[in-house]
Amino acid sequence: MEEYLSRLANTFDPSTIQSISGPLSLSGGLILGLLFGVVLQKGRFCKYDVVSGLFRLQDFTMFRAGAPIIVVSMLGIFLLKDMGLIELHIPKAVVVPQIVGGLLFGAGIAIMGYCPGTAAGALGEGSLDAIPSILGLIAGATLYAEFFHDDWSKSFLKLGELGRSNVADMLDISPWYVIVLFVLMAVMFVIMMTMIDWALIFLRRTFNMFVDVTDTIEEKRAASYKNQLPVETKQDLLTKFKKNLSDLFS
Amino acid sequence: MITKGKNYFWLTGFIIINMVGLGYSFLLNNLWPLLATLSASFFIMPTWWSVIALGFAFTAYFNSGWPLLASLAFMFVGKPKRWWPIPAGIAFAIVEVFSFYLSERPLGITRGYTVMGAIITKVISPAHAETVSYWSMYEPSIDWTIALILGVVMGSFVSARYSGDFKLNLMPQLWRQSKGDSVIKRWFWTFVAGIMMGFAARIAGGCVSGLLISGTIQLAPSGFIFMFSLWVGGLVTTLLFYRTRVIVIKREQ
Repeated sequence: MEEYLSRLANTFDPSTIQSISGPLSLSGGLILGLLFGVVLQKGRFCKYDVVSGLFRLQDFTMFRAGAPIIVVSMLGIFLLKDMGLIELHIPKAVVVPQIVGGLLFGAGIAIMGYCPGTAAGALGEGSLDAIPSILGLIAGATLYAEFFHDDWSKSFLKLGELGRSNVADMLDISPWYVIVLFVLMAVMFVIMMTMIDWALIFLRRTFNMFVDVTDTIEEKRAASYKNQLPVETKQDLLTKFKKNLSDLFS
Repeated sequence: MITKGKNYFWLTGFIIINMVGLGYSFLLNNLWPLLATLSASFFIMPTWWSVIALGFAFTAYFNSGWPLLASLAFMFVGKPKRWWPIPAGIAFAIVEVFSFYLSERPLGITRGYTVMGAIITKVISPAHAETVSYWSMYEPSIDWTIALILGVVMGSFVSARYSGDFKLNLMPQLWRQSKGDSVIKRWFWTFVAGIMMGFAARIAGGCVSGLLISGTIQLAPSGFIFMFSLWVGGLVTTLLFYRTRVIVIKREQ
């Protein structure tokens, strides 16, 4: 047991705690992680209901938040890059593995309801089913490294390699043209998604749509019998409307 | 705040714990015992004044004003249970840009899990870890990404505890509605999905934060490819997997 602990201690390098900036600093990672965790929790990104509702086409919170994420950070990154404060770190584009990996990854998200980052956030939030998902993530990465990387690194992972250049470099134009186009698209997208989402909330609240489709008639009957109450409580239209408005804008 | 008798119990505990911490701080002539007890007492009693106290303690410890400023901001901003999606997205974007500025790398989570796998392999058998060529790229040492994951867990916990959103649960409500009450089934499926996601992230070279968001914001083609294939894969799998009971979603009211 002590041998294992000493090996674990050997993986830790104390000099990485000292400074805050730099790609190797542990303190910087912790600070960024704290901010990231707060944002993930407050934006409700680490809730199964929200992520799964996106793929069920019923809850577009992720789209409504995702478009501002991409647009604002795109603007910020290219502004700071033009000011010379940061550099770009463009991930390598390999078409076929990324399509295959994306399909598999989407399947995983649809089943699990957390992405890797939000699984950690969900663990902090008290969802204990993030524990097996984190173990699974580690197991999947280890599986790939042990058995597949040597065979695939020369063949499959090279299919359709495009290198580390972005769209603006490929088209040989200024990135700001692409960004302006993207911003316009994203604004329209957000407006559309917000309208759809609000319409869904409104319909659900006002006309009791989509609410109890899965409850079978027997379950409903049992519930009403147990509580000795009617299934729906009557509300007059004005209070319902007020409740809807306060839900939308609060 | 302190109106019920129950709260007096916790308040007494709070004061006793912090007195002990203060005593040890004087004894050792160092601030970290008080810091530890203040952090522990925040988890017991997450109120606005314990957030401020934490901010003061960390400011004194690090000799910098940023922790106090952050705690003051968090005191107001962290109180609601949720932010509206667009402000939340803008806050996310600020964190992302800050990561480029401070750490000179995009936010990426899956790399941390990969490095954890490397560390586990090395701890169990160092000789075997030498032979795996992939671990020469992802070196088995505790690095930035693992600190990031730890920070995400802690930040999410603090935020959820402060706003009263923290609730231990074994499975989500929506899964219970669409797939039944079995906890073992849920945990089995999350494990399988986790293996799929870890594997896919290694093929593609990143996850949602590391490839999709960090790729698209730099206009990299990889991010767009990954985004669309992820969307298609998720939709098809949802149709196949939840086929029997797709319709329902119950939002938090």
